[in-house]
Amino acid sequence: MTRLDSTGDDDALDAVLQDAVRALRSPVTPRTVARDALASALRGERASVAPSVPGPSGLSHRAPFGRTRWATTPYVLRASPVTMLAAATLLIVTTAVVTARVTSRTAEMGAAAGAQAARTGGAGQIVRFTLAAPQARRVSLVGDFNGWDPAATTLQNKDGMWTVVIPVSAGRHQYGFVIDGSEWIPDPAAAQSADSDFGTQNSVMYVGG
Amino acid sequence: MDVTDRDEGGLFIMVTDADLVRQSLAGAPDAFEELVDRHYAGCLQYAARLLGNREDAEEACQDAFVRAFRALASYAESDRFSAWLYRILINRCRSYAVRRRGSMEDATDNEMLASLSPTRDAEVEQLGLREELARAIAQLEIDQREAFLLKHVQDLSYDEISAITGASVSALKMRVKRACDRLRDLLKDPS
Repeated sequence: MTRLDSTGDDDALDAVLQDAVRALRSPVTPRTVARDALASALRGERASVAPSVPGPSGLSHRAPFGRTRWATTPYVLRASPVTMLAAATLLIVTTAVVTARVTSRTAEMGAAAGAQAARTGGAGQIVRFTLAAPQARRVSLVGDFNGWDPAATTLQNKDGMWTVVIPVSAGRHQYGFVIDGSEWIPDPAAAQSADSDFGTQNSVMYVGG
Repeated sequence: MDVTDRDEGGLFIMVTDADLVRQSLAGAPDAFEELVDRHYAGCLQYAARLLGNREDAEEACQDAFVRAFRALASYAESDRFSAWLYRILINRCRSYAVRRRGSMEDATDNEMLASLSPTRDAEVEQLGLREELARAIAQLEIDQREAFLLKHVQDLSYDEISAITGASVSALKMRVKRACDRLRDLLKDPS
């Protein structure tokens, strides 16, 4: 919100109105009690009673808000052992996809970018990795998604900011950067890290499906 | 706020609001929470400034998000999620404004007055602006108040406001102009 002085003639604000607008733009801090009430209301919505609908292969679950969504969260199973096995497999897979959401780091990232997210075609996201390394001559991305191969994914340099955009499958991934072919470092901006097998730290990311 | 990003380097995971809507519709319980996190503060600011009362604003926001959740399947991805959400919020705010009609000036609570521009408190105090501003906003016609806040506080374009409110761009420009004229008069001569 920086357009106080950049609007056209029709919208030009004099000093009195500029002060007014600045005051009105000051944030209203959300109260915890209000957020809790909203969260509770939304939980109530999710739990709202909807008719139980029989599904394919003997699966049955509630259809939230009148929609039938067989891909997720079957609540009641009435089926043969084979069907039960298939349903359990489906539940495990879908639960993994659901829990592989992009976590709170997406909320903290804030401002909008020019690009739009792109689907990978399967479960996953297009992810952009960047590293500020003005002194580096070469930076590679390594992670469990490229076999930890420093030659697999090379970042492009622009004014010391190294960037690469690649599709990453849904789920939890560990990764890091390799500078000049020898120095392995974690992502300094990553929210989570994990111990590697070599006594160093890897960065951790979660990619939604 | 369609895409997440970060300026200082590191990992970028781009998840649009539309992605979160799809995930929520597919049953991901946290996807809608993420949408709430992204948009609650902006919605609360708009509602609070429009209604001049924190409790009404919080209730309007809660109503709006619950209704958005119920109607999520009707959200069309050709639309910006924030614009779609604001349409719902504005309708809720109108209902609360109608309920408060006739007592809008009384509706400006002390906490809302205190929240105005805390970072420039001394200047605002010096100008004697704070209380007069809240009362002046409350004296605007609801459609003028709405247009003025969307234009100058939420910083939306006229095309975006038109898509949200259903009013034509020329009508919106007129509302904003009248709101500015009225506010200018009220703030220069609060009596």
